Amino acid sequence: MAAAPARAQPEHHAVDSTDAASRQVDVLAQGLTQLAARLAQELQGLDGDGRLRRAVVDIPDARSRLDAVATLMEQAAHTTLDLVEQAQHEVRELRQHDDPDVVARADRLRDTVLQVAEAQGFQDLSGQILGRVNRILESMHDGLQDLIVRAGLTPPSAADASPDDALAGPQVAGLQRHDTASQGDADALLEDLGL
Amino acid sequence: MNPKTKILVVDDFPTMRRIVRNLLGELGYSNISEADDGQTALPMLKNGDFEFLVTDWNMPGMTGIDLLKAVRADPKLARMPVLMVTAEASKEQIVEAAQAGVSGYIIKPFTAATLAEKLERIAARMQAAA
Repeated sequence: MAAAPARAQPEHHAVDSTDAASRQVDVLAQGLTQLAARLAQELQGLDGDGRLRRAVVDIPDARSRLDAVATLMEQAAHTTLDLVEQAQHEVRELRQHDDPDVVARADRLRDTVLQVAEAQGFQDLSGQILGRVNRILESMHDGLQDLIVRAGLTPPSAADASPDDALAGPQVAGLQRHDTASQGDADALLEDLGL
Repeated sequence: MNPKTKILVVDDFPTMRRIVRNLLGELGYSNISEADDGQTALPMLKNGDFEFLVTDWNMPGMTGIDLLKAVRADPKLARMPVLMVTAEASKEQIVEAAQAGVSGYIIKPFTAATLAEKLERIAARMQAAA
């Protein structure tokens, strides 16, 4: 029978270590709960001033403006190339002239016009750069939106957009928040006012 | 190079296609067609009788380097001269284009003089090879 307490000994130890383990789990769980609560609080505070929401709403607006810049530049380059082609046509006729001095001048003019055409290459290069910035903005927007959803923050709405500047600047298709006037509208308005 | 040489210009930017066409026109080449990426260009090359390819690198769909590789892999097109005109200016990319079998490489922005010089150089090499 002397062996009995000896057998009980390890059992007792086992109960002890189970208790210790469960106490450790309790402490860990408590710590984790506190950490989670603090994290939730921090995350709520993360967008306390609504800057993340505003960014999520403003970024698509900024992207539309970049697209508008790319379109304006492309149109300008096409307009310039139209004029280049007209000038080249004139120059070709001038080069058939009898007066060698006129032909020499036409040759110089031909080089100048060609350089104008070359210079329009800016549109391709700046368009590629704008496209890259636009893709960066897109992934920033998606990342922020994802963060807001995962953190359970207030989802953004149109009301979060940055307030309009008093001077809206150039009109961007699809982004006019106010009635905009054409030159004709402005003339009519001024005429009504006696100007 | 013969002014009647049939040339395909591939670039996703319409203004750049117009500029290349214009500069080629001023250099005396008038038989020019356009495509906006490799995917559009490749069937045109396979079904057409183009003699010269000018291509951008960075394009959606099929890039210029993939188009170059496809051209070099096609027995009918393999010997066609390919001039790359691109904003990609890293040494690694120039080496990659050379390894893929590019005939000439122009970094944007470029001038008509550079274009003329590369065309002459390619034509001279073609003559030497013939």
